[in-house]
Amino acid sequence: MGFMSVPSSGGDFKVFVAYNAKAGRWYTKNDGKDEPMFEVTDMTAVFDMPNLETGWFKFSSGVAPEKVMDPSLAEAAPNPGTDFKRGFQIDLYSEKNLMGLREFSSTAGIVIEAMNNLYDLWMAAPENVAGKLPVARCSGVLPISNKHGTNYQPTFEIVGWTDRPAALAGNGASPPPAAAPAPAAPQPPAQHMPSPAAGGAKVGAPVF
Amino acid sequence: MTNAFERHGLDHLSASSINLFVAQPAMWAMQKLLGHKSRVGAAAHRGTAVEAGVEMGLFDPNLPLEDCQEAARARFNQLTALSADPNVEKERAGIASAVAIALGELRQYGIPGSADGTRQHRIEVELPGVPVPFIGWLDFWYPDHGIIIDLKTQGRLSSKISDPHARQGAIYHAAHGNNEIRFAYVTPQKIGVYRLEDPRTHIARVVSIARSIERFLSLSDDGAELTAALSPDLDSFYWNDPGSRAAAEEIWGLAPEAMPQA
Repeated sequence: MGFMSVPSSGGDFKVFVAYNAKAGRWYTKNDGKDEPMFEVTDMTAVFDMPNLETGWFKFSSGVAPEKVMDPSLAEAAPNPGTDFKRGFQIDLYSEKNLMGLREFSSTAGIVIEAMNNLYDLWMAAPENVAGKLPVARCSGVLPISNKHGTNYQPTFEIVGWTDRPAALAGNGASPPPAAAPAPAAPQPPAQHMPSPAAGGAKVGAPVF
Repeated sequence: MTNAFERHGLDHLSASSINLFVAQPAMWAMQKLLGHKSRVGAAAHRGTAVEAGVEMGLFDPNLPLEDCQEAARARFNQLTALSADPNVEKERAGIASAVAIALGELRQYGIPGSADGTRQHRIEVELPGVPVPFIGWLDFWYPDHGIIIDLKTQGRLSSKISDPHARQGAIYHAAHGNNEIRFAYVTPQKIGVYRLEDPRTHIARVVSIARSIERFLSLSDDGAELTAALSPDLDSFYWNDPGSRAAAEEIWGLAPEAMPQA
């Protein structure tokens, strides 16, 4: 895929949306100094997939992340130093759910894996070839237990397609990749069903 | 007048049978019409072993996890004692973790129901247009919740219910239509429990496949002739078992040096 990116370092002028993997919840804030964080209860937004970038990120508490972006998805930038981790960033847009344009970035493996799955869905969809952007929704979370304890991996599904919104126009409409469209639209990923004890959907008791 | 199934000695169908017919019709014919059984590989034994450990932990919620893991490992060791599958060690390594993750999720459902002293529930259901019944076994049935869960172990977590599994779930649903069918896919790292949506659309496919099998069986009363009319896909992992490959050579006359190695 062929978008260009100017390597940058420091400085983050977009309001961000954050995913807390320990809680399995999304948070953002209004644009403005000292605005409080609030939870995003419906994480549905336009994902600017053609302009997704990868690179090296260093997240420190209370300050904007340091980052060195890759020249392209196919070429990684040199590791800028210790404490930097591989990650991605992407712009999301929803007036209703995110209060506008938000930047989402992460270096967490389970989040990268989830984005990889969404990326594959987007790449395989015929709408992508037509230049549409996906409207994706976090349809659920999957508990993952490992040496880091239990974290929750977001599950994305594409719920619609749209022309590039004006709010994302500044990114430039990169030409869609020349991937061959899949013969059929991909099935959205299934949603993890929590157990009844965990507050899952009430299921009627059998009648026999 | 007997139906085509009975003329070939088939008194029932199952989810695995119709799925095998779809995926590998030559192997289906070899197994069902000529009676050649195939040995499964380490991945299938891993599934059986994990299920044994999870079942133990679900029916005895106070049993320490380590005991369930040890039971699963013991079952795997028993099943693979004579296996030449090179993946035995790799599969063994993920068993304890998969048991832990599955129990962490499924113990929240409570203790599954049991019937007549057996933990798995036999189902038998007749579908319109299919002259023989479908028979199967439910992994975990929660009557209080109205949920049936089938456990599947995997190396990499599925993002959705596969079509063959959906057909299996649809058969369960046909037998217990007032229960929700869920598939619990577990890997050594994570678990996803997915609900089978709209089982009726999948049951239509089940019936369609069963009718295809019936039409195929109607072509001849000679199982060997029917089997010979097909050709095996020896590149598929279904044919990894050396015994199956040897049987394929007998049936279809493939010279060993001409048979691709899976």
